[in-house]
Amino acid sequence: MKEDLILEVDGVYKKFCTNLKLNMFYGLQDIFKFEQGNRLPPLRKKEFWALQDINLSIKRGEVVGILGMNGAGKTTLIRTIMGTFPPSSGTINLNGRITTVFERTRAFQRFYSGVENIRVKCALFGMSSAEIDERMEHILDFAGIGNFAEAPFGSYSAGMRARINFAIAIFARPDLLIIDEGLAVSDVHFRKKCMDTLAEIKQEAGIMLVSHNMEQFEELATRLVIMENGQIVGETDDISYGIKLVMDKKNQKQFKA
Amino acid sequence: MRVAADSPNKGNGFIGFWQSRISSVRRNKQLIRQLLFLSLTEQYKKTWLGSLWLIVNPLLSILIWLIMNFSGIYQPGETSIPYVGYILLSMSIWLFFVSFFKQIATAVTESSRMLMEAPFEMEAKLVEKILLNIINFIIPLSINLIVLLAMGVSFGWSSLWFLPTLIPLMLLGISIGVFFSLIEVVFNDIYLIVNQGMGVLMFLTPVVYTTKVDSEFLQRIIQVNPITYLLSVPRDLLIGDPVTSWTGYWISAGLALFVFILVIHFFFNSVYKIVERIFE
Repeated sequence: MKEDLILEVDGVYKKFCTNLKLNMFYGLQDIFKFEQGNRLPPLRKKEFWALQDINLSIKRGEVVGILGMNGAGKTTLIRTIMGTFPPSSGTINLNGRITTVFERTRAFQRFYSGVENIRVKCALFGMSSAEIDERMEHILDFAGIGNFAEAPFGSYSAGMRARINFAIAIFARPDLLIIDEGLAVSDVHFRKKCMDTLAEIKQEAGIMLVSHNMEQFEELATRLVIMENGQIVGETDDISYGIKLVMDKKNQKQFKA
Repeated sequence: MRVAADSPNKGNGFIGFWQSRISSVRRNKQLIRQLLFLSLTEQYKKTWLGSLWLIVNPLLSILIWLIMNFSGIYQPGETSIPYVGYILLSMSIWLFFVSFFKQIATAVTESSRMLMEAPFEMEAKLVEKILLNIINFIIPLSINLIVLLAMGVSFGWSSLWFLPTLIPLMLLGISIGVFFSLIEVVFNDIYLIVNQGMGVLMFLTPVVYTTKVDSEFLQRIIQVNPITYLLSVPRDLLIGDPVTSWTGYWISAGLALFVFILVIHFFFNSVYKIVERIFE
């Protein structure tokens, strides 16, 4: 993998099961199954392809916007790239550190202070003790939580939580930053601060952006990937054109409905 | 990092597999420290006594056993040391074993919230649970040893072998926990049954009674139960009793080591296949 190539997704498929009990049974089957290599496994009863033949690469300096309607497979793709969902077939090569910002964060502990939670989340992103100590002040400053740094996390507002979450993901100095509606709950002022910071860090990192806010794509994205039914159906460098294409399709669907 | 459909980051061959596990633990030192801090403090976070509960809990159990002994509820037969001391020691060892199962069996499910945002290597969670259990064992054990000394029990040179001879019991506890951490995700019923079964197993192991128990039925069971030897031998060595059976101990220890190697291989070959199922 070349140095400036951060992410390479090659022929990735991902399947899920729509039935809970069957899914548990398949899980039990899979535990005791010998590996079948990287061959495409067949769909079993009630299973469907959530991702099909995904090929994607991201270089340093690129901001790739993932666009698609609800259920298109955007979040599944992100979770597969992160490594939360293993691909059913295909490979993902990641060169460097990956950090994520989701709309709602669940990794924080409500009875622990902001500082304690920052330490845990930084460690989850693979930061060493020295790195955490060195960047703690910057994270607290950026998040602007002031005197609340030692207060229990449960007492924080949604905005404060989102700010801490974003600050950690930035100051972990990722090679690939994934944002899945991560700026949705922030106020206008903080969102502007984030957009400015993202514009700065994209010089050294790759960014994957999932959002329903088209302005964010217009402002940041260098490429748009359009998804539908678990597949990449289009890719363009012309951001305005890509947005128009998706919006037209969405309007058509709404009109038909 | 490479993630593929065919089991990521396994390492090649037997040596490669274990080298891969060790380097993962080294990589995740900071995460292990943070997870351990959370686990140690979380349970007592909302209490006034805080971590003092680590000391209060064993003191309370000492009190309960003292009351039960003086009330005559337990008639365990002859023990070489005062029965309360015997039971405290035995229960510490038993809880050490069974806690590995209970703590580790829920490790995968427990990680779901964190895995959703930052998938980390499972070695970190397993090592954190092992360290947590060792800490949770050492504190009450130390208190129990002080109580034993106060009861007039003296410890000889053989006592020094107590901790090393506990290692096979620890490996067996970890193995059962690791195996059921996978099963718990997709077949919770079995985990719940085994969880209950652990209570029964305690009474089929010489924990609250000695290996010289009168019942022939129990005698037969404890002779074929490997945990008998893994638990009794360290206890015998600590209190200076004649060792129950070295042969039984070494056979059981070999079995525990074999099961441990098998289960750890099985776990890291399979965990990536089921980890997504904890999010449902």
